[in-house]
Amino acid sequence: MNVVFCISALVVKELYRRKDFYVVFVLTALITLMMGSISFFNDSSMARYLKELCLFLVWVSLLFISVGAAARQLPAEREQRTIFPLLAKPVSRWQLIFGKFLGCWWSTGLALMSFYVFFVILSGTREHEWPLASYLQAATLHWVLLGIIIAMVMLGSLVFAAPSSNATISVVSIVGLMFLARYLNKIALQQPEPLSSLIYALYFIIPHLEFFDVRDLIIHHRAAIPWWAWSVAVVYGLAYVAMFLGATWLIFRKKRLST
Amino acid sequence: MNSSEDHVAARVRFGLLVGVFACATAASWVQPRLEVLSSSYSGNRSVSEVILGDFRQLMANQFMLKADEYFHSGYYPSIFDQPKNKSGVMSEEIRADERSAFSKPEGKDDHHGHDDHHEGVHEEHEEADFLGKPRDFIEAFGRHFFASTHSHLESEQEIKELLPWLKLAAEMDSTRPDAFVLTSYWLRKELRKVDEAEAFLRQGWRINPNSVEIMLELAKLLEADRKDEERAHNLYEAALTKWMRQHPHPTEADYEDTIVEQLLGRIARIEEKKGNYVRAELLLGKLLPLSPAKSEISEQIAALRAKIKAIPAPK
Repeated sequence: MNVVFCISALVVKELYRRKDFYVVFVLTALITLMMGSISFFNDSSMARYLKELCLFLVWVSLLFISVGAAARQLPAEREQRTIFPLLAKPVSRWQLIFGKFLGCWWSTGLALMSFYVFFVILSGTREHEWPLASYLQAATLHWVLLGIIIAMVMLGSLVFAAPSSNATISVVSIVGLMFLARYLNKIALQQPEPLSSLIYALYFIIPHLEFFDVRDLIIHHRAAIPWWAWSVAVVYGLAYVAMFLGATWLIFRKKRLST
Repeated sequence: MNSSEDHVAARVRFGLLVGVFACATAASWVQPRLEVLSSSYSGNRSVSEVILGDFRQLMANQFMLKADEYFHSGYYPSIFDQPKNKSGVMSEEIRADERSAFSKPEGKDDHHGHDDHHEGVHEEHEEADFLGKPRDFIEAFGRHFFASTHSHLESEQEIKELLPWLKLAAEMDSTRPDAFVLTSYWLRKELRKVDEAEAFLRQGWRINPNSVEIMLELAKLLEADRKDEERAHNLYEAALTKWMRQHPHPTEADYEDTIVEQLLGRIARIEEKKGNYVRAELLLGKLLPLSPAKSEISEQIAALRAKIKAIPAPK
């Protein structure tokens, strides 16, 4: 396991040396603060539109950071041929994959923590309310979602030819899953057989990423999710992470590394 | 040495003078042309109008929906949930509230109207249960993660949260009277910001001079908040005349938006106050087939007839 942690620490270092996170963080903070300075009808105490905007920017930023980071991990090692000395250490292929995944997940977790600290301070100072349990649930579910995304993109990096195509296809799929997965059962019921059964089967198979998006609940001051439901969602998300990583390993163990 | 330096300095001064004249000439030539160019390019339009074009209308629609979504604290149907109507349940609720105000001045309690309002809201609540029973365990479980129960914004601080979206909608598409009317409604009735509501309505009226909805809302503001019944009366009359002109042969669908109902009811009430019972009775007679509160209006007509009869005939 030490090997895995060493690889993941290297990935974390690599990612915090890059400027992506700092740029998007500063941009998010600037846009949010600028929008927060606007007064509507001589009143500047509205907070929900600001929370919505801030969370939207956080989600978009973290989506691109995680997809960008995960998409280039394995292809970069192969292109620079650093994968050969790495595997000769000896490091097994599953350790390499798991280490890369953990590195990306931790680094996006650090970014997520920075964003949420900013968000909590912003909403707390505007609304004078601190529903910390809800914020904790939102942040952890978001982090689990990022885990699924990273595992999915790492699988894509072995399936698709280039990191750019992998990133594009992954972003389109993730956005599609976020917006459509919840409604696939309704769409299925409106279709003729056998299409209806096919879509319904797909509905049960695909990861329901909408479970991890609880922005509406915190924007509109809804009650916190029951902890049992939160726990089930976390386990559900981790199961998909394991599935994607397992599939990545299955492909990677037979993959020829020379380009 | 000195004379040659003076010579150079004189040349530099001459050059600078020529330069200044050249710049002034160029500026006087360029400036009017730039003005013409910029007016032909954007006219009186804002930068966002020039950049976004017709996309602004789509955005305005989206912002109105967003305000409606906020009104229901995030409990809102998606395109897959088939919403009941396009105008939004927030507008329906306001209409129910306005309907209840036909036979009473704004701000005064009216038991019957109050019940009507709640009946309307109750029906709307039943309609608003768009989710129905979950179809499978994933859907049932997923309802823990989004706003899946119906609730409304209630406190003053919560109502404020609608305003950014309504203002943005009005700015994106200033030809939509509903954005101005809804904003004014919340500003004056819930937040008691009458000055802001009036300024915003007048801004909307300048852009949409033919909007009966805006005239009606402005008249309500004058009557209820400014206590200026005379000006409100004039504006109601002007709005009714405009509505008649816009609908020379009104159909049933034209009456469905309740504008004419509200105008007739409000003018009738003011006429009655002024002692013009005959005109008040005439207006209530027109209102009777349109209003859901038929029994109440019939009673008012009967009372007016009694008052007309009680007037001594001129000698």
